[in-house]
Amino acid sequence: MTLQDKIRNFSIIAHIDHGKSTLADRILEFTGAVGTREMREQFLDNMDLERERGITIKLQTSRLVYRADDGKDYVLNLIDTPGHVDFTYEVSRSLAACEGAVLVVDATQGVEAQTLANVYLAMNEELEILPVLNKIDLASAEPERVKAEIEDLIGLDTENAPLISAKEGIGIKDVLEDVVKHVPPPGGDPDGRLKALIFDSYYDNYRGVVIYARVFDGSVRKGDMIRLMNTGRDYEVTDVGYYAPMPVDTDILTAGDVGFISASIKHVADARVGDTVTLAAAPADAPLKGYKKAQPMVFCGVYPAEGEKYESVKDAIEKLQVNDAAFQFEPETSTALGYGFRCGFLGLLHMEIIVERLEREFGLSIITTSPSVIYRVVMADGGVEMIQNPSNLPELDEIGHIEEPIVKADIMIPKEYVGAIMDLCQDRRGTMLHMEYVTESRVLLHYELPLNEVIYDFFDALKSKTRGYGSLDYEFVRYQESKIVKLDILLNKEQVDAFSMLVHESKAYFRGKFVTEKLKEIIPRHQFEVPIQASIGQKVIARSTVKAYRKDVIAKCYGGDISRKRKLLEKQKEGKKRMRQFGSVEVPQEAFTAVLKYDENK
Amino acid sequence: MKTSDESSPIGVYIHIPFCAHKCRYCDFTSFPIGDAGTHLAYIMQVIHEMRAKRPLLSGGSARAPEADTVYIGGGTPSLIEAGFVTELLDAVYAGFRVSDDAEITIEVNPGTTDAEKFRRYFAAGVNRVSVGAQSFHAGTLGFLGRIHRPEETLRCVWDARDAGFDDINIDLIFGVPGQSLSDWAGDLAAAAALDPAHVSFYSLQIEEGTPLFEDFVCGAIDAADDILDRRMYHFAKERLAARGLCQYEISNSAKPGKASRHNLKYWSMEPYAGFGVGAHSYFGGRRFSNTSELACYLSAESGVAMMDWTHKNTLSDDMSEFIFLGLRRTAGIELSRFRAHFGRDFWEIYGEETEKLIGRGLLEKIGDVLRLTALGLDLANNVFSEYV
Repeated sequence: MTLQDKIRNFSIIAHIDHGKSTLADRILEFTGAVGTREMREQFLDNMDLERERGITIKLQTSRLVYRADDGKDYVLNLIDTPGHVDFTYEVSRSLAACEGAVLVVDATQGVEAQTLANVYLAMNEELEILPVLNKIDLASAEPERVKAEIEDLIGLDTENAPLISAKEGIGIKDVLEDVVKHVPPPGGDPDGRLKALIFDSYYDNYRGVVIYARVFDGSVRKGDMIRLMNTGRDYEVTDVGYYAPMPVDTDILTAGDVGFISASIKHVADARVGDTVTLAAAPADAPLKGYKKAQPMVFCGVYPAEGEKYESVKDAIEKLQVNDAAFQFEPETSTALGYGFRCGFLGLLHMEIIVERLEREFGLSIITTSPSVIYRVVMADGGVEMIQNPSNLPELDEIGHIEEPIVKADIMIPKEYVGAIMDLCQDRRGTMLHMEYVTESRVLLHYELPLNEVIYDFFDALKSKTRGYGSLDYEFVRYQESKIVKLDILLNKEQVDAFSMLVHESKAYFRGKFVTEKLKEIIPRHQFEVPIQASIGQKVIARSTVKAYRKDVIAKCYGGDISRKRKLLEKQKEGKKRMRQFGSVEVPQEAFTAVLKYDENK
Repeated sequence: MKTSDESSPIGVYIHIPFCAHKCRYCDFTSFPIGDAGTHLAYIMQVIHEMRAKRPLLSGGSARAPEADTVYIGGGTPSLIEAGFVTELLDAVYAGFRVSDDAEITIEVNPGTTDAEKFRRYFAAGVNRVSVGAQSFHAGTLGFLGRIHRPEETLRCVWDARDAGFDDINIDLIFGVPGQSLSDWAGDLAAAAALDPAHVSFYSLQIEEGTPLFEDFVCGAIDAADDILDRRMYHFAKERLAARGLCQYEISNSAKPGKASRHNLKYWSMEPYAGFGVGAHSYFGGRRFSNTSELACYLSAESGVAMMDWTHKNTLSDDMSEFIFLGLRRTAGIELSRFRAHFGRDFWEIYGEETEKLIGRGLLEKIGDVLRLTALGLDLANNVFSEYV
């Protein structure tokens, strides 16, 4: 096996779009792990959706061999990290598997909210952080300014920081030399009791769940009985190996190594990120620190759309969950939408990604309901209920008070947008903790915000109000008592449960007005007038009306052209099929998503 | 479906695609071409088409197929030389056994006719004239992009009458942006004063691809208000009925016995054969459409080459068309006839939809007849779309 001092385990961290994946691609290319010809853009991001959105959702890792300037060969384990605020925990576990992190900062943009968030995570894991300035080829690059920012904000020495262009392949070798020279080799006792950290896992049709692990102490071989310490289950190892970046089987993984273990585990949820792998026969004394159970923060209902089968949705959701331990679901029913699922996600992006995968990868037609957070409902009798589905809110007279989750949000913006963003945060019931000038031109706002204000459209609003320059990072801090009310929507006097939502009292009117106006645009005219009402309890707080149509007829007969008439009628019938029937009112499917969209003017 | 082609006489349609000027609302196949050379080439090609399609129409029989209606539509058939109309009808008489009491209609546009033309049409065997008046209000005509003045319509109708025509239809359009109810009342009164046997009254449809549609999309005009449109429609039905013209189809009223026999074929699943660019046909259980490209039509050597597409109607096509076309007539559809045609019970197939539509007040069943109610006439697409 490789001697430990020839191993370097490192990650690349960056704010979204600063070029992390491109740098990973170049490193793979440079070390010959992937030929230029077989190089797909962003090799490590292997889902189509990831490539399209330019963000990493699932991790991939790769073992590279690099001959350094000192003439020796080094094994570099590059551990990719997901690049979004929703996946902070997963990022932290990937970092825990490393000794060093390459911090990529866009030389045209400078330090952003997620740059800092990631740096703090890396610091928590006591990693050696190596700053790199990317996009140096662009005319707008300002390496000196950005270096100063990194020194001021993060306190890293940038004197020898490589100036690179991942896109153009400039400076890649400098980065690798830095890694070899400055990232410490892994420590750990190869003869000790096995302790390996799970930092990712995925489901493979042939191997079952494949664990990505970093071995800290001891070693693991094919045939060993392993134990996952937090779940307490034992499994027999069927294969071990590493990715280069294609899978390569080996005999053993030992202290300092990064690789994969497969052990006929059925669900990724059984091999949760952060758990510790040890040997059943000679278990370690204690698991590695830092394990957390996946904790969904955002929930919504997912229902088969008209003409879609419940079973197909169920199959797809189950398949997705096999590969995504953070995604949870349970069956639920809605009077309006029938049988469906209540799904839990790490955050809004996570939710959007899952929904999009259901639609695109599985070709499903689904309806999602308003996203919700979990409210802590303290009952009059002192009991506590955690409620995320508005329909499950207990009767008002049984409720003592309701608490909502609060997050600490770090928002980085160019200074000219401070006013607009402070207005936005205030509008979203935020409390400013403090504000700091990161540089002369950029400001970091620290706010506490109710999570339910963040999940609707906060990110869209932030992007739109800062022309895309604003960035956001948030984490849960506590539950706090709040005046939360249930807002119901009635169509033609009948409540449609799928539209119900829990909102702050101060927001109920605007929300109600927005939804009733939006539905008025979307619901087609009927033979009768359709009143749309928003109510809290019995009290109607907003109202709009879809007028009845008076005329719907093809007057002319087009000289015997029946096919044309038939096409028009078929189109009309098709449109009707895509409608959901609520009582006597027909509602197009898009109504459910449209009422959630950010609207600059509202 | 038991085809009635062999027993039912056919309706012959001839499309004349030429116009002096394209109207702003029109999306029919038409071309602003005025030169007699093109007209001649076109007429020759139509005559060629009639000959070429003869075997198809007679189903291999040696006898010429029987026809009891002929309709020369457009475009503007009155734009071309009257002599060409004579040529066309002679070709029809040569290719079909035209019955003695056949209805032979020509569409004319005011401003393109004179007394002599009508005399020649009459001599050629035409016995019905359909006048594209559209309106008698200069503002409305201007908006629609019509080239004629209201007085020209009067002249046109008088000339037709003088030439011997009794059977005269007047086409009107309502629901035009800017048109008031009193403007429309004026149009109806002016039309009624000419004592036509038949009036067609169309609610303006803003069709995609027309200049009117462009104006509508860019917001230069608003579509007429639904409520006003329906008031105009109801008003027209009543006014015309008071003058002895009873509604027999969504957009048509006529004196007793003067309903357009040709148009009734479209709504009754009877066979018709269309000749000319963009013309449609239905016979032998198939629907056909000719190409709507003039150059393509003119250069085609065979009848087949003129075709854009053909479609063999399935049983369900035929059943749905029987219903949604038949219901356009105020007489409705006879359920016993449905059974005789298709050998199946209407209620077994469409019971559920039909009950719902009756419940919504859009359809009514009177004995053997199912027909649209007054409300159903306003919301007919709602009914029809349930049967496609």
